[in-house]
Amino acid sequence: MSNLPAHEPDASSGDSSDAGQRRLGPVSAPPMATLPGFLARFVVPLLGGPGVGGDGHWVEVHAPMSATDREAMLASKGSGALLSSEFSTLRTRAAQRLVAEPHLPDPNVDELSLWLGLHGVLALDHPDISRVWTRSKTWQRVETETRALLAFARPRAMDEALARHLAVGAFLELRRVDHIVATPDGELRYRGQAPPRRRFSLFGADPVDVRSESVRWIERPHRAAVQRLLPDVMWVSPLTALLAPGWAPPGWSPLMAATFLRSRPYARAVCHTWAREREWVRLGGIVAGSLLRTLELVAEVFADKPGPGVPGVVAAMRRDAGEGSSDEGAPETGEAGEAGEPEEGARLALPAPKVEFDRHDVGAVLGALIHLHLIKVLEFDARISIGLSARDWAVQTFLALPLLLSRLEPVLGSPLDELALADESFARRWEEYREHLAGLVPRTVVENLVATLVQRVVQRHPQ
Amino acid sequence: MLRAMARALLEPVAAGQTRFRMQGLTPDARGIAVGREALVVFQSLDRLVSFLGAYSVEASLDVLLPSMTLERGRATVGGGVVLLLRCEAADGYALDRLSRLAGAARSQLYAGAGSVFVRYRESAAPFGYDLAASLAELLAEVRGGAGPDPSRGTGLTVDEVAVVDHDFASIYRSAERIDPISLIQRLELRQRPLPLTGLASDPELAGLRDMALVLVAPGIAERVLAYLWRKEVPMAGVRVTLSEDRRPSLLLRLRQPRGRLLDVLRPIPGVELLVPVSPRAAVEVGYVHPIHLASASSCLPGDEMYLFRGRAGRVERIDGAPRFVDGRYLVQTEVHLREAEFEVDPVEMRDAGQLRIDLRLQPSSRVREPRATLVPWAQIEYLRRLIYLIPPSALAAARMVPLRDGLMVLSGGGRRGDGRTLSAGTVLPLGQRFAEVAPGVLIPDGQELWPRLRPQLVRELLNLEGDDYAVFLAPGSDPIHIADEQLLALDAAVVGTLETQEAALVEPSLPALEPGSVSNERLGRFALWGFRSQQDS
Repeated sequence: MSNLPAHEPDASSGDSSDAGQRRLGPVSAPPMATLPGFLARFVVPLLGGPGVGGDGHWVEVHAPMSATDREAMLASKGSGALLSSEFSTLRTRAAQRLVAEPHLPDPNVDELSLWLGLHGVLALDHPDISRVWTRSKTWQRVETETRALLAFARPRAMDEALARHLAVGAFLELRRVDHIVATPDGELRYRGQAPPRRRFSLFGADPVDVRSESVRWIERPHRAAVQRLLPDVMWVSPLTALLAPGWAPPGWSPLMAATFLRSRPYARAVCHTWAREREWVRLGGIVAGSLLRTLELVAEVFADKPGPGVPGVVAAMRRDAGEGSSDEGAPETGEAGEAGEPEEGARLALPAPKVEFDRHDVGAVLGALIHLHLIKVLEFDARISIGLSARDWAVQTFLALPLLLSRLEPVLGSPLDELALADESFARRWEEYREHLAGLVPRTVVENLVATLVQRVVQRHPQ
Repeated sequence: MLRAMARALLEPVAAGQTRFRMQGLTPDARGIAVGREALVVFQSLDRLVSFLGAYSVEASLDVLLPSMTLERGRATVGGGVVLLLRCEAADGYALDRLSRLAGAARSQLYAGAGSVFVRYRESAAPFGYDLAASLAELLAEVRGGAGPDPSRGTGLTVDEVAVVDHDFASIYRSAERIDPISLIQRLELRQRPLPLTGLASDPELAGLRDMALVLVAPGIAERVLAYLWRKEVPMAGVRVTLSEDRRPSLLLRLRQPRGRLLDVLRPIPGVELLVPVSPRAAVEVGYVHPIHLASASSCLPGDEMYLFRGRAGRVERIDGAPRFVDGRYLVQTEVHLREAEFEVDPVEMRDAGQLRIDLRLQPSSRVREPRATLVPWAQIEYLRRLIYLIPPSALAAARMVPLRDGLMVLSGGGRRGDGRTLSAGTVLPLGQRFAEVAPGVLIPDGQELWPRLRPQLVRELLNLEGDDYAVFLAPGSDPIHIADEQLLALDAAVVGTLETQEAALVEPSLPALEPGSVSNERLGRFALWGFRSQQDS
């Protein structure tokens, strides 16, 4: 234990009080290096947010930890905290945000590894990295170790996948409060930290010159090491990738999580999560495009050969926009930065695994996407959102799906059977919407999809 | 009327085309060439009516009418009269709808602005059409060389409209302007077949299931009213003066009428059943207006109510919304005072003093439900305990009055004679019970007033008013009078002041789940000292 960063919480607490700002972590929690401390300082705020366990309960990011620390945690006295009833209740409540009656396995070593890995990813994005006296090789070892902690096989069962989604989904939702200090030299941004007191000298910046900004952590630029690790994080949880396909790793396919779309509660949750997004057309395009790419139909449907990625994925959009890794707003010039990092760092993530699927899986994905259209028509939100801006092949595929409904009906059924009886105006709106789509999507695309994609669903269906 | 050309006058607009030969054309969001206005050319009035009818069913005419003009146009070359409908439509979707409906009415839609219009898009040209040559040349050809010089502009006057199609172009001069609203009001109703077996066989009663309006001619109004009154039909009515009638007609409103009744009323000459189609319009049953009036409230200006009468072929305007009066005030009632038919001799009155007798109590075996009980003060402790056993309805109705002999508990509800309420006097096994022989007159149980007078007379003899009581406490004693205000509610009297305590509010024990927030704890200089990965071990 002595060689672990167990001393860090104590040192950090001293620093924070020295900074004269609010205390960010729970004072009474055990040290970070112990299992109860890690749960209280990192996992519980990650799953439940700052409101759980009292105000100011923040996701503390300390020095990165390794598998050795994990073994030490498990061997220590407080390892029973994993199975405590409060923690179990919190996990169940977190899961109930997705499905009403979740079935969760007890947390185990694998889940602890996942939390440690997520902590490692956040630690590699820590603004104080440049202060640490160590060699760059050590940071590479940290990255390798974090990747090892995040190396998981595909989940064997849905409950296991749900447990992983709890952590990874909360990880995607993480927020960060940045403090921006206006000085005569310009603005200094303190990412997730309180500005040090030395910034407020007698004649220095006035506290009124400090403003706070709450940002979503995942949407901010990250260091190169973190960007290399993010695909590994997303590979851990297929359910999270399905719910947030914009952050899906390269090579991802919705068929990997088609099991969830064949389960009614999960399918409902997924469709409504998609429908809540402002850019639901882009999301639908990613899912439909990824499906088409997995089935190797892109060149067949769209005569020319599109680019390698699926348009709309955040990574692809950032690549197109020329955004690379960035050390945004380093507090002081020269404090942060990884000059030695290979920018072309390529993808070190594992290549996409081979996906096994049957026609029911393809049908489930198509059904969910068509249901997304239906929800938006129900919400009177469909026509407003569909503009002419997104005309890439993936979005066209997504927009063409309601036009395939008559061909898919023998297998997928009709969404209007009961709804139309209850609401005739809705049936009319749905038809108008389909006519509207028919004006947007080229007829050749629809015909090619009927000849290729639809055949994958209805081909062997007994007539 | 039109001049056919040897060459094509229009050319399809290409995808993404932004510049057009014809002024006023612009691409909309989908790239379709549209103008500010749309023009529909109808060859006859019935096609125009079909168009308006179809539009009102599908959308609201109130949207179309404010910008719509209707003109009777005459072709400058060749003669011929057409109807020109112009309206604002700068949106491809609105134009698509107009084009579809115009096609259904066998007419053609043109897009453009000002005085020049070209054919709207079709399957052969999904983005619409533009002029193949300059407009001035085309118009010069239309006029056959006559008219103004093409080099000096189009030469169209203010009241002329040029329409360019694939292979012909024509110029119409506006001859007459038609008010669309008055046109709609003047349209003749169409007959709609009614069920041969009568309205009652139709579950919807031909649209009269919820409400029916009945217009009754003045001559038979009273008899129809009397009939409906006898049948106890709930109704309301108002007398309205129709335009050409001297006496006011009767307009009746029947809510949820019976089908049989409607079948009786409909064949009566002078009676018309009207179906309310909107809050301010009603159409005679068996007829239908060509326009869906529910979607065209602006066609009916003002506050008037419009009655479309099919058999009479008239539209009646009733000033202001009719204020219906309940039917009972419409029925004519005749009050006759009976006259004496024969004369009688006055009876000779004599003093009846010798007949006066006293009202006494006598034992009786008749069983009556006790309405009150007089609990002696000695037994008041028992009463205090027994109150817990009294059923809530009996306790709520019970009242009490403290007397010198004891506490009298009177049960309410029994005076109403409904017999449904269990009285407190029945429940309490204490004291002397009293029964009610007349409203407000209590006598001891097992006794009876003698002689047996009418209950109302007893009450009058005792000078009882309102909810006052008169109690015969014992045989031979005079009754006592208890005024209503002396009675106290039993439940309120027995329970003292209740004190409430402030409820202790508990915060919800589980706070809401929110996204976590990262706090980057400060890293020391030696944060990674001693970092051991699995490779090291």
